[in-house]
Amino acid sequence: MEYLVLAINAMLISNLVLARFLGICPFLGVSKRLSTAVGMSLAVLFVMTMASTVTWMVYHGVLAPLHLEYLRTIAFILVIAALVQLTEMAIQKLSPVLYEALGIYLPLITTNCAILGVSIDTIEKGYSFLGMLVYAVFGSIGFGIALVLFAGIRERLELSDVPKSWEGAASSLIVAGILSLAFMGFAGLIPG
Amino acid sequence: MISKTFRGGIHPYYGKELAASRETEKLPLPDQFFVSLEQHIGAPVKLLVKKGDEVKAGQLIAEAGGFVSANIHAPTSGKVTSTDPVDHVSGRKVPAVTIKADGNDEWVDLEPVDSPESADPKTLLDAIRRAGVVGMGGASFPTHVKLSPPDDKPIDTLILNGAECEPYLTADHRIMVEKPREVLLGALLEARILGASRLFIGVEDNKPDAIKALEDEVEGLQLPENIKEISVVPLETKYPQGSEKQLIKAITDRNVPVKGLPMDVGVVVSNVATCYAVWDAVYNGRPVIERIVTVTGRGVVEPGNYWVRIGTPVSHLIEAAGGYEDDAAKLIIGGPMMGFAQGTDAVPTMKSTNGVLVQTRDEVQGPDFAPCIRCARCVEVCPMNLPPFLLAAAAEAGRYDVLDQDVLFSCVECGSCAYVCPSRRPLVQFIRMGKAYFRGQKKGK
Amino acid sequence: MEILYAVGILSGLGVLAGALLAYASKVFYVKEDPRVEEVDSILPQANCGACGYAGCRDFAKAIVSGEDIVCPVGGPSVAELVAQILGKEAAEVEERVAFVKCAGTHDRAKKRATYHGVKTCAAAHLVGGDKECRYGCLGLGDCAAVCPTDAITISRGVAVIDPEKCIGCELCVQACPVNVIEMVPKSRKMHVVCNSQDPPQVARKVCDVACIACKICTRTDKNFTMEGNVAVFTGSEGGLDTAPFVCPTNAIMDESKYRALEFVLSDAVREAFEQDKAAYKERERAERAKRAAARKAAQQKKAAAQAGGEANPATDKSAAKPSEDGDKKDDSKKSNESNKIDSSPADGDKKAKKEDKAPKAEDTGKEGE
Repeated sequence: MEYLVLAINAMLISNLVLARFLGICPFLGVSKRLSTAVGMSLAVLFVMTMASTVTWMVYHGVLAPLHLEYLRTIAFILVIAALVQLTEMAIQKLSPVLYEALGIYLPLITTNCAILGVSIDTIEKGYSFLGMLVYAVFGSIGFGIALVLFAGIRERLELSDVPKSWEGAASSLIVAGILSLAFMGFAGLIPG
Repeated sequence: MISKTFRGGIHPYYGKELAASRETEKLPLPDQFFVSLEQHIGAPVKLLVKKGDEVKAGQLIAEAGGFVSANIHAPTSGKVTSTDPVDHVSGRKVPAVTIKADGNDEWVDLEPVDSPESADPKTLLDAIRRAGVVGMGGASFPTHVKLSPPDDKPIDTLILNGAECEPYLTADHRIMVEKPREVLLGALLEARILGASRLFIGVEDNKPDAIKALEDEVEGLQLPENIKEISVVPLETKYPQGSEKQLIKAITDRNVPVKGLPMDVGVVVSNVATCYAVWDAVYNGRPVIERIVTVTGRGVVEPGNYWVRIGTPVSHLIEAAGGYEDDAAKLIIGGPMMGFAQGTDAVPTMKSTNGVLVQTRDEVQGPDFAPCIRCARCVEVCPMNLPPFLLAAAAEAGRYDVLDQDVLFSCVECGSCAYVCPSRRPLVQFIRMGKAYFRGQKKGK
Repeated sequence: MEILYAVGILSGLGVLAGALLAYASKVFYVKEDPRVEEVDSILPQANCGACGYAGCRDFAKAIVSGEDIVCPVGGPSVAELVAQILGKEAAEVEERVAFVKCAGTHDRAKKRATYHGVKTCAAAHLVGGDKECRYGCLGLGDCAAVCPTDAITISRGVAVIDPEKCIGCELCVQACPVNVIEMVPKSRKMHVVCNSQDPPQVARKVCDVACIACKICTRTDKNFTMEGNVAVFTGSEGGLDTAPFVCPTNAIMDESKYRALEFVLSDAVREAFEQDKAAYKERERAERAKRAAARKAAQQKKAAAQAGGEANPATDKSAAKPSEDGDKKDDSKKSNESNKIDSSPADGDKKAKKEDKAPKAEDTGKEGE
């Protein structure tokens, strides 16, 4: 039950993009086509789970015992950057198919604040290992939902007769705002 | 009387009163015939005559170029004066045989099938093939092909399409009223070829006289053994009731799958005019060189129905109907919903030409249209349950990559969406554009 | 003390990550030809897809893997550089530009109906367009819409491409539903401005500037050949200067003298051209007359020399007849123009006159736009 609440919370209520405004860069950048949005979402799911796991281990295994908690941001950045690089290389070698699908998004994710945000969040909130996993997985699923929704809307928007001055980024940002407002409605799902 | 129907559709102004009660007249022969060589779907024909040849009515002038193809015959006796391309309903110029009529209208010797009631289906099929019968409701698919479905697709139901949902047109109406017996006999032949045990005749309920005529005839009919069920089914007067898939849905409640054909659900649909042509081919051995054409609209002086030889120029037809009114503005071959607007009245009639409509200036819509306002009326009326506004928007923007081809090609181009659109958007034209794009791609342009 | 820990841990992490990555780059090394990168950096990066590949990078990969292709946008200069990297001989690339084979403006090509539908060529083509001629430019600008360099002008119902602005990306060729746009070598100056495959008697009726397959150009200039019912310029040379003048319907354009834009769209330029043509005809006629006179004189001389010997009138007639016929035709057609400039100017004069005309025409052409 606890994990269910955690999952719903991570996915919908405090949605990474629409409630906490993390990872806005890919949200706006990679949402022009539905297919790329799906690819990006999968890549995020993959990287976020891994990065959270590793950073959780680094924190609880190395930093906390040595009372170096204040180093976490800088250490996490290092770890995440190295990890994503490593993953990219590994995928390129081991699974060219997966690389074709996710490859171009991986470097983008390196600098994605959502990854770092989730990693730090799990530490801040003091989740157990399992809690961290649930939080990371469902957080990235939430990210994916927002991204895919937004991409779908933008695809439709592109076919509409939008007034010239509102075309492109302007109307996209309005849509993002409305979407964010809509997600606020989920706040009532869990009392308190 | 309960009338069956389908979901969606529209109720446009029908305009049938203009010509519905006009008895069909024989049209006097014109001096010149332009027999188009593109009168069916499928392989192109092989021309058998050349400039200077003498031909007789009913003589084969172009031979089917494959199985899915249909013979073409001379409409009257005369001399071939040219084989150059002439105007075609589609707006292109296509190869055609120009025949200068000699006025004698001499026929070749016809070879009817002996005792058609007991003849072997193969013989019947061959007679139909030789006569060049194609679907006369508009699609012009070769009938002998339609009547020979593959063995793994058994047919249990034959539906006669007498809905004639297209506004203004009354050609099918007249044939049902004037030749019900011939139509039914033709249908029974088709049913026997197909091995179908059920025969339905779908007629829209705005044609009570046709329903009555057919019902009377059905009663007096001696049914062959294979027919277990036969009935005239009144249908709600709604456009596009006569569209194949909608008709099947309304009468048998079967859904033809996407990209599928009626034969996939054990049904074959045949137009009443086609049935008459089948009867003519088998009982009289006469090839398809004549059909009923409705000449109608507020732009002609005296709307009416005529027996017209194939290849007669439309101008001749209009003349017979008293000529154009002063404010005539638009000439359409077919009906207002699915017909083709023409740039010239020199275009000849074809096997599939069921009507000629002339609209007046007031009736013609201007070229301007407004943006889509997302009222979704097109979605509501689409008989195929498609989102026309989306398909059109994608095609308009040139975003063919977001178009799903299966969805796009499900569109039957009935025009219901464009009819109800409050922004007067030419949705069907956009969709046709999309289809043309993908067809062009397939051809590798 | 603590600071040592901190520094130690971080550098430890850094070294670890570095070592891992270094190791991984060995283990997971995927061979990619470095030349791909090099080729890619040379390409124009227009990512137009005109080469048939999805973007410049794809093209680079393909060419490195041995495909024999050229970048249509980059042209010869890029091809040469690419060839240097690949150590190959550059394939001969001719710079090509798009050309609209139609001059059927509203006043020259007959209209058959008013087209009410969607204002794009793709839609209009479905119903055959509004011109009698089914091979001509529909003039609704699908090509202009896709042109990345605004090289296409639509005016009076036809598209005209400015060869100076055209980069040869072929997007317009793909966009045109009637296939009236063709890629031609940029160096080519002689064009047949008609695409009609209609039989001559039809073509003549539906358009004033149609190629009517009279074959005069193919007879007088071997650079022209017939393709079906339309003449095309297939020669590699510039073609004879006189080719445009012999065409009875003015369907041949010499771009070294006129810009396509003006030749097709400007009436003033057309008039200037007509006058040039008339002058040419006049000159031809004069020359022919001179030749005939010379021949006659020679014959008379001969006859006189033979003194009472039989001349050979039969062969004379047959030789002279065709040219005479040709003259007569020209006369009847161009009698007006030739009358106007009866005092057939000398060669030098005429050139000067044309140069006079040309700038004027340019002005009007621009106004027309």
